[in-house]
Amino acid sequence: MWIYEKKLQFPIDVKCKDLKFAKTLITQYGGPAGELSACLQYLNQRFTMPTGKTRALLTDIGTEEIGHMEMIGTMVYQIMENASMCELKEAGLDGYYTLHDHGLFYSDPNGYNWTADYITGMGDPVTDLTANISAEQKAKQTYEYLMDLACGDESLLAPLRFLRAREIVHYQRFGEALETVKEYYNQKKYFC
Amino acid sequence: MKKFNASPAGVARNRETALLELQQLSFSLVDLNLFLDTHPDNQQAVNDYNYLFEQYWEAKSSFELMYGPMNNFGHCPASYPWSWINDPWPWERGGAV
Repeated sequence: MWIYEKKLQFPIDVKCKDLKFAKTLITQYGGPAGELSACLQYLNQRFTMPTGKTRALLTDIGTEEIGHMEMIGTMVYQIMENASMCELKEAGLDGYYTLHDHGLFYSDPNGYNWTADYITGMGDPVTDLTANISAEQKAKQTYEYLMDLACGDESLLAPLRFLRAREIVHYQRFGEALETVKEYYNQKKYFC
Repeated sequence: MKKFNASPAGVARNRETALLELQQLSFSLVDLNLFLDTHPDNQQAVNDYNYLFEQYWEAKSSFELMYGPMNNFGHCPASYPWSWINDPWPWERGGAV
């Protein structure tokens, strides 16, 4: 069960109307290393995690990722809100407009829609946690590229910095979880 | 329902300040939550969590009293008329900050 909280995890008030940036930013909504991929990957893997620590961690990080998806959705929405036809065309968003108008969609900057093929769920805790460490690193790198493209706009950079920092914390926590899982299996060798 | 004399802009600014405080407190709790998942025996982190939890709960209750509910059920009593449907939603301008 989940309960919605009517607030963002980090304040967002986008001041610019950089539609080309919105087109790239949407990768963190529905692209391969985006927040949808992250939350679905973790919330799906937790069923077969072997310890309380790992079941809790995947639940909690997976839940936080839903909040990050809301942040990215808010940024894209605020940039695209009120954009005219000419502005959308100029930014290369005419194809996007044809399919989604000014609405949000789980897509990447090149028009590929989200697919479960992006995510990992091998059922083995060591494999899955290792995939999660990799996923956090990929997302961190994506945020760095997006920050390069944000043209110094602080209303875009502040939430992107926050999200990048969260990837680092999640990476750290998954690393710790992986170590505890390895310890758990080593112990089992002696006591089973 | 409590009435304010402040101008709409003043109310918005106060909401923004109160929301920011709530965002800061709840973020601290989320981050400690993840830390405690992998460090469940860290007494200092549990103490910090409980210290911040009290402040968070107090801030959340007073925010909800002023600006409406944060959750659709289980966290605060409903007012009449049902105010959950009121703007702003977080992605709307003026709602996110």
